[in-house]
Amino acid sequence: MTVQPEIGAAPMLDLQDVAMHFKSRGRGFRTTTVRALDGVSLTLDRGETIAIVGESGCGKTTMGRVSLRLLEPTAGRVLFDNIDITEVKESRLKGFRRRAQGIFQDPFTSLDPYMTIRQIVEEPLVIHGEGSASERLERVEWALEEVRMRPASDFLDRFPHLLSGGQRQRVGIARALTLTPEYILADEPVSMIDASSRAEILALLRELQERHRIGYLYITHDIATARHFAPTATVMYLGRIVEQGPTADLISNPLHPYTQGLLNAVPEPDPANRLAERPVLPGEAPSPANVPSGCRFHPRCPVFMAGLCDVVEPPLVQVELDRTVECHLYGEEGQARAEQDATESVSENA
Amino acid sequence: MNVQQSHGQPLLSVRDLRLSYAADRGDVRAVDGVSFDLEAGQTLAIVGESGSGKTSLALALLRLLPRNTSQFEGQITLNGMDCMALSDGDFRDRVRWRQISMVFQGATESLNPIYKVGHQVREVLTARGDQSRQAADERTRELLDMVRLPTETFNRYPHELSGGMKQRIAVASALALNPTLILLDEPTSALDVGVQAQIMNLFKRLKSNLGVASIFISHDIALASDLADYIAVMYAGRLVEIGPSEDILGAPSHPYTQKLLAAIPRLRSDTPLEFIPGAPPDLSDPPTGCRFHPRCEFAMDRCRVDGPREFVTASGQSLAACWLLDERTS
Repeated sequence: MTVQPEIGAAPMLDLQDVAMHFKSRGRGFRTTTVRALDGVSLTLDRGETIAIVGESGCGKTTMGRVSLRLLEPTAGRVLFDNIDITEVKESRLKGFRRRAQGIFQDPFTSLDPYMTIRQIVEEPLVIHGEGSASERLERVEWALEEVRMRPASDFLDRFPHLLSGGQRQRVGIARALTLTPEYILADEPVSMIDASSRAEILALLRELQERHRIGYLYITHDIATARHFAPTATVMYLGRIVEQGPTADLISNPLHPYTQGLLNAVPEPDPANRLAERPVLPGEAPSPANVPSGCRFHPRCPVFMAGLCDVVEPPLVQVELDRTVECHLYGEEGQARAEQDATESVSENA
Repeated sequence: MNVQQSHGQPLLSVRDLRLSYAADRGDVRAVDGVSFDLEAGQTLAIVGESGSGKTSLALALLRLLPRNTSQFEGQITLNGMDCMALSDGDFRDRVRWRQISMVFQGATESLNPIYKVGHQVREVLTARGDQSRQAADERTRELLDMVRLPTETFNRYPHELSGGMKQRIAVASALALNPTLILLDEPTSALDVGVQAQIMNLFKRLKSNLGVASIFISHDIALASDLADYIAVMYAGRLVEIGPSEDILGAPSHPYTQKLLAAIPRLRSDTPLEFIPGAPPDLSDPPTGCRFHPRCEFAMDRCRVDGPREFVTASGQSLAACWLLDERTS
């Protein structure tokens, strides 16, 4: 994040200019490069939550996977507790694997239907050779109680299909919790859950964070839940971070035109909504296999400046102490351009 | 439930509709005595948690009954026609897709990958041999235009389209035979917020341009407010509250509706979120009395025993099935 950590204190998770390019087959024998992640930096501390907000294809999930070293990035570095784990061999990552866990989007497919709840939650302990069978059972019961599946003994021998979506997601959280990790990647943990149960899962995650000082990367397409769960948010578009800052500020005063468009699209329960169309960004985000020149957002941008935005990559501008935005509107060239346009329109009018 | 709203005959009138499925653990009463009216050109949203019977209600209206259906009864009157009196064949020929059509949840995955999408829309028009291929082609292009897809989309295959475009194809198919009522079952649940907003705008436009009535089914009451003139809240197979959107969103009367609204993360407010503890009941063995009582913080003794009657709410515009309203009036 933009806030400087205390001197000497390295952040828990430190992504430095990370890129993840995939080669994929194009037409015929040509290969195309999918630039899923294209130079992003971010730090996360223990006990902190940062939301990564963006639409599908923006690279948020790839970023999460890189942060867990499920993917080895094609450029940049990943540091955990000041240790570079970018290219460490899998066999030497066990220490990291204990300390970093993930919760995933779909509680219907991320739990093995042939395993009981007990086996699912116990698996990480078995893999890491933790304790005796009875100690492990104790640990499983503890984890289930932590996620408010009480009494744990009621759930141990059940299979996932007998549980509701919310309960399944809690099993996923319990599984992530058994090794008491310091970092949890929460990739869309509530998007497939009923609106009425989302608040419950988020409250649970926050409670666990307070008790165990867990750092969360909260990946979501839903900026409204981010507002209630993550004090800090990062908006991504086509593999780049376009805006970053305190979530509440970002919502009350969005700087990047993309963030503004994203916010306009979010419905709030208001009967007046039906009376007018919602202002929307035109089209859909292009594929990361075909990234536009200059600013990636320029083909959809309502305030696009020809000759600048489609040519020059936008600068990263620190707008306030804790806010950054990557947009020409806030850069020197863009500002000069805006002034020039203003004088021209004045002289035209004269 | 029925709100005193209509001047004259409603487009759709549903009375005491029931749909149950046979299961090992007994009959699952997915729709258990639902009544409402819908006027032409209006949108009714049906909101509730998963498992409350919303989709079953839509399937009942379209008479797409699963094979294990054990009970299907009640009254469905459409444009003055008694739908329940029609044979399955007549219903198919006269009502399904001609008068009531549907956009299914996950419609984007329901396209056949090996046929051009234009042909799949056209199939709706030619399936019953009532339109020549040429006329159907023309109509298909018109439909694509109506859902704001470029005409060349006709010759594309599903994998070449984005999720939003595939959803538009599903909408085009639903509109093909000029229905008076279209059922929208979570039509945007697989889409990104931006695309979701575009599709909701499309529905708004179709509503005002074509005057087609709709029933919008969603677990997201905020999203429902984008389209709904009326909102019905469904819980455990029954409607617990129904009324104009202004009423339901502004002054909800049923504790369940209140909780549903309090659970929505608001973009511009810090109000701590509430949630409804527990899960909706198993519909093969619903709770006695009011079905919401095990999760209701206001539950009284009578709630555990007697199913609540419907009461007119304070505004006089809505109906809610809750004994609290009786307490207030007495």
